[in-house]
Amino acid sequence: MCLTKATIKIFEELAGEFNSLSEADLLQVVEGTHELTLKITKKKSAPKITKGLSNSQKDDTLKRLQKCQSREDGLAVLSETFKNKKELEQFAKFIEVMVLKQDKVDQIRSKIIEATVGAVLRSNAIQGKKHDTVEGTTTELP
Amino acid sequence: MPIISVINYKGGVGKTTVTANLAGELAYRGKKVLLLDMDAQASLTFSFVTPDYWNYNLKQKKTIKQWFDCITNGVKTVPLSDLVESPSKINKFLSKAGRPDGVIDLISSHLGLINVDLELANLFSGGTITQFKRNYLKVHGKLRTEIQDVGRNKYDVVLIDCPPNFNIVTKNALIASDKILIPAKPDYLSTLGIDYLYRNVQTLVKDFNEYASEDSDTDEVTPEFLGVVFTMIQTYSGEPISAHRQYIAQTERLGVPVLKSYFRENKTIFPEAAQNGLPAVLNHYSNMSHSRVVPEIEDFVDEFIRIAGV
Repeated sequence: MCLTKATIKIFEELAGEFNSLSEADLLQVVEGTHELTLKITKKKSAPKITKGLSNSQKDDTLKRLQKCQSREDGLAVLSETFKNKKELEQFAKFIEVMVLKQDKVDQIRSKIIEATVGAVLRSNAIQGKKHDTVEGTTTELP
Repeated sequence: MPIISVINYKGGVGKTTVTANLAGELAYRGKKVLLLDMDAQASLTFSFVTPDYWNYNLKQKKTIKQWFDCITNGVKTVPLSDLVESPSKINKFLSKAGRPDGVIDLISSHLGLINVDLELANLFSGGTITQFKRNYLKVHGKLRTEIQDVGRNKYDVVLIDCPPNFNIVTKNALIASDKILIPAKPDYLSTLGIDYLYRNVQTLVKDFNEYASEDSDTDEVTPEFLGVVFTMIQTYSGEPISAHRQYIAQTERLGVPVLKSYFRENKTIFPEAAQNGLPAVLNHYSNMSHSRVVPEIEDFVDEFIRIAGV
């Protein structure tokens, strides 16, 4: 966008904001009890820059995780599938894993693993079963 | 007449709250419900009768302990029908509410039930393998036959509130059951309790059926897992908070059937309801946060009726 067009757009925005002021608002500014300030804030509906993974990609990843025999295998799947923290967060949300804003990448990975591979390993351990990666099924130990 | 056990290995997950409210709503819908309190803490019993009433009127002659005492003493068991009490407050409420068909009857627990397990375990000591198997079937399987006898043509459903352990008393309840309902809190330890339960129920059924196959007088059993109902749910914008959704989703991914309905957390009305002798679901609350609880329990009962075939 050239400078002229940008300036016009900004003045249009300012005019719009000015029009939204009431007569009482304007009087308070004229009387000097209040002042006008400019503040630039991000729009809530601002378009997202990152496109992210499709639901079918996330589904596939979940299926791959459910077939992993160990947490390490699961971590390898996450490392090769997700390029950044944003994608990991999206996947965590998809599988209903709670992630905090301050969580680092490693913490998000760990939470995803515990809710998927870890959950299956814990369940099988308690039920006396071992996990079979090839078939994706469990067999009972003697 | 389905016999349904309500159990989780983990204590404090809301088993009694689920059982009492389920019974209350079923009775309100005109069902005849028999409650059997097998937990030595007697929380279900004290949700329908006061401890002082229990102490004067039920403790000596009308609790499930009297029935187990017959087994340990090797004498003929007292008929379960002799142990049945009709709690007056809830049944008067149902009658006044124009629900005369609805009934809640109760076989009370006893604080001394905790010692019964040791006495029952003595029945297995000594003797040959054949004697052991016969005693095993007698000790574990007798309750099933007798509940069926007392319930036939009289009740629409029997609900058993189980203790949070896997002792002989609990095994009796599970062997007697057609279906098993598992209340669970959506947290790490409570969901582990579901796995413990699955494992132990499978082992119990396997052992019992193995011995039963060699005994012409005993039928094999096939208790079925109805599913998990999550309790103590905190909500935000009309759905469970994300920390709770995580454990619900995780349980579903493990292939465990999970009920869509749930019990939300409320530290006021559930304890109060127990003290008042009327389950929360039968109260009309004007407070907004309280009043949401009731339709959610009604949804749970709708789902329960559908999956349990009551």
